[in-house]
Amino acid sequence: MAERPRRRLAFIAGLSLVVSLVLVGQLVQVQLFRHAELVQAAEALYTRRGEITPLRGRIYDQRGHLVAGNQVEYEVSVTPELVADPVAVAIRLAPLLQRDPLSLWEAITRQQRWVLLAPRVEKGVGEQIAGLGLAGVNVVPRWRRVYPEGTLGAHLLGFVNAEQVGYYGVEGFYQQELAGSQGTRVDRRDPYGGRIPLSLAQGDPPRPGADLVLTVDWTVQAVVEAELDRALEETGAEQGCIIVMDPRTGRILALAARPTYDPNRYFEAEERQFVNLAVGAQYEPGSVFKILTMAVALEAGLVTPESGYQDQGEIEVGGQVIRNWDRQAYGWVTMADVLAYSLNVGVARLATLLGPPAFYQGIRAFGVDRPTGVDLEGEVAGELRLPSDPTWHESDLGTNAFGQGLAVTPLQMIVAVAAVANDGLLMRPYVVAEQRWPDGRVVRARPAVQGRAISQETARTLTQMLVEAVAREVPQAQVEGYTIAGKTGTAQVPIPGGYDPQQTIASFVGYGPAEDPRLIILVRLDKPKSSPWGSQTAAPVFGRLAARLFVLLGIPPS
Amino acid sequence: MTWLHQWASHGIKRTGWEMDPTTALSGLALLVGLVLMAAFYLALSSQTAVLGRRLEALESQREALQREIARLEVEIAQAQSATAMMQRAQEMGFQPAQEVHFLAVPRWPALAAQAAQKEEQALPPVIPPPTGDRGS
Repeated sequence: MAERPRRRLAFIAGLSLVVSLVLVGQLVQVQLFRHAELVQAAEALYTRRGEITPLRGRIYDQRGHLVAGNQVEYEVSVTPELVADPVAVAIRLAPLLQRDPLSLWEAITRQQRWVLLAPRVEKGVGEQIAGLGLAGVNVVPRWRRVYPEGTLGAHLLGFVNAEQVGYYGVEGFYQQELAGSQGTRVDRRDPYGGRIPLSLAQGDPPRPGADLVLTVDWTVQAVVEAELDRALEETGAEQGCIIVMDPRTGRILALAARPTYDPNRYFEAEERQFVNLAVGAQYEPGSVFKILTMAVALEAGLVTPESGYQDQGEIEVGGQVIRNWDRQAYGWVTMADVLAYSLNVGVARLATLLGPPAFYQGIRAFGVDRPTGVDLEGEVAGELRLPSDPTWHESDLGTNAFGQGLAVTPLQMIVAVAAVANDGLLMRPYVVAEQRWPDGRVVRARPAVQGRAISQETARTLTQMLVEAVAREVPQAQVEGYTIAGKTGTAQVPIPGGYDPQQTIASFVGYGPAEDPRLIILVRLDKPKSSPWGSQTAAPVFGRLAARLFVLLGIPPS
Repeated sequence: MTWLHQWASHGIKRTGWEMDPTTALSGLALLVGLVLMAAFYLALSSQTAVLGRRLEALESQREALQREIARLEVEIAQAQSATAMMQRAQEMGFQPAQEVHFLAVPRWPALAAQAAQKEEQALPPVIPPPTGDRGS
């Protein structure tokens, strides 16, 4: 009898031993032989590698006023399988997300792991939703670019899209500096994305972008934009721009263009509204270009301000007859008269006397055939046909002399004339004065000389001629107490087959005080209805604006 | 250690097992060691979890503060915007200056400072522009 229980015990012991050996064998296999493979699989299950978007660098004006910052919005999503009561959740979220409760319920009850309910909600709404503490409802913060002053300075700044990529203006040009570099975060998460705080997260921290300080004073910018809006309203012009620059350094003090857009709502704008008329669109400058032709002639020693000729009202160049703007003959005139009366015949004559090589070499020294290198995205170059180009014609020599048959951007034009104001030195324009990096480094922009267009003597002589031109013929551009040098422009608008007989692009470029130029301003108005002439539309805008800016910037009178 | 040996012998006797007291004590010591290690590991894990949670809370707090700072910066900028200031100035009865008179002050220190600054900001040498081979 005692034998059977002993045999059963032995059997159970043996069975237990076998099972134990199997278990131990399995343990040995898992812990030793398949250790690396299984650890890797487990890591993959609960380790999450995430990217951390850095804070985009802010943009300040010259006085430290924030003009582009960041604000948080929230992305609201749901994990359906974690939602205990979809109906209650839908009812509670509907008024906050401003959605129909039924459509929300349908989204919440989808057979998906994760459902997006709202990509962007305001901070207050997001925090309210997060405060409800609804299981399964995820509220994730996302940074959004904010421009506190709306449309003000839109063309200078550009805009940033939802993926934090900048376009146009400073945002586009300095995208790399502003964006910073992404960080990574590796931590352990449960299957539903919740963090398991059993270990410290690893990875690289994000590097925030650099803050930028502009050369622009936002108050000056506001004044300029207000004057441009007023000019467009008074003249009925279709579009326009104003650029204000320091001719000594190339610092842009203000830049306004219309049409414009609100960079906070860039998605509502049309493509054409993004184009900055000041740097992204060419135009035939017209009589303003006569400044450069006269500069080249003076520099070559061909003429002096007192040199004269008999003006007969027309001249033939390359088979094309060129006439003065009023088709009048002016009789005996000096070079000073040519600028004061804006005589096409006079400058066409100068160009033919110079000859194509000297003329084009001279005007190219003013940079009109290449981009200025300004730090704004979207700059285009002008168009200048040279004698070596197959499409160049001898008549171009005559028309180019008074700014037709070639195209420049307003910025190229003001930079060229600024060289005259700056004793002949051509400066590179710039908008960003400083880059302030998170590590404490400050990178300051320095004025950059791009070349010498004309000698100091020529520049000063030409300035005197331009002062005389304004004094004699453009009283609308004068500012009491200040000597102003400048030139009007009334250019025909090219159309297929020729030029529009009615429409013009009216402009004025001027600087002062002439004896020590601190400001240069270019005003451009496209197709003004009140009058086609630059002297009657653009020049008064210059006069008003210059008077305000001299006071605002503390520039004493002559 | 004899009291320990005696205690172990007494305990073994009560169980009725046949075991050497030294072996039993060694096994017990091993068991106690394992339990202590497990307890230590548990304590460490829970402390890590607590610290991890605290760190997570601090990170959330930092991010929340960052968001609040950004919001306030924008709010301040909006309140100080050029258009807002101009409007406020108009409401208070201010107008843009119409007749401005400058007074020339001889030997004003600022003028000397300006002259010195002008000398300091002497421009770098002229860099010839790049010329393509297009001219004739």
